[in-house]
Amino acid sequence: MSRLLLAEELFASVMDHRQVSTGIVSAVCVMPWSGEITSAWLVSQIAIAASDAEYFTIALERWRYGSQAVVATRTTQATGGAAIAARVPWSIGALNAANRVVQKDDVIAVRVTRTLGSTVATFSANAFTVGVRPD
Amino acid sequence: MSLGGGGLSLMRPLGGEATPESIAAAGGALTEDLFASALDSRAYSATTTMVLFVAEAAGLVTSAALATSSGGVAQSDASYWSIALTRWRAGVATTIATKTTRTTASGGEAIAGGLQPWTFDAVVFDEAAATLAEGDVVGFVATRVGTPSNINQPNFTVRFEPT
Repeated sequence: MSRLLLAEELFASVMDHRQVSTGIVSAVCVMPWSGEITSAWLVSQIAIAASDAEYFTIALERWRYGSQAVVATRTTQATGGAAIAARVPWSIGALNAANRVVQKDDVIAVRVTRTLGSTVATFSANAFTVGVRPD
Repeated sequence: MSLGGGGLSLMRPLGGEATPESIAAAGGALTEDLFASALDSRAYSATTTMVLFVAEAAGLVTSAALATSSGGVAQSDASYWSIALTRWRAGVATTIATKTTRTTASGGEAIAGGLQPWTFDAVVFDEAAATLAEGDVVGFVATRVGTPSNINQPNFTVRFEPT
């Protein structure tokens, strides 16, 4: 029999050591129940400076049997984005009210895309933490 | 290889006696909502073992699923993956449930890839094997038979309930 938890929310967290030379997609979890996403964070092992010439776009995605919906997105652009400090939680951004709603078997993923410029910045060993709350 | 985990609860005392209403109002959850997930950024090209979590309390594994970020595995009785949800107790492996990418007639299902779920929902769990004691290890053994496509960067999610 189920028991009640004194839990405000649950979360899933994964780490991906792949280097982001062009882009990666990291599956965070297969939702075991319906509910909503409450937060999304990236933690990088290294600092990423803000730049309009070369930057990363981090998108939180909800996949429902092959159909993609973007829940949140944020960049490291100097204009409109933010630098990432090493080992400091970096919010992936405001959550879309409709797309944050999840169903059982939805796949939650984070996509990191690199936009090339004159420098050669890459980063790897990223932790992604997504807060989820059941209905 | 990179591993991660999650599905943990952030404890927040509510104050006073907890009721279903007060817990619901605080965004509470049930023990049956607990799950763990992990990403393995390897591409599986041979039989591979993936450890997911250590049970911190006795419990029951209730469901499992995986998803891959790219590619997929077609159904075949000649070349397929057999993926066993596994419990290790003091190093001894016991299979909780097994699912394959064999043909539908053989009880298998293709892995669609592209972040689509491949669940164990239709697979019967061995209840004794799914029963966890503190210190048990839960994970998967992906056995390659023939020459199926690689399983790329799989995420494994397992739902479990403390008892």
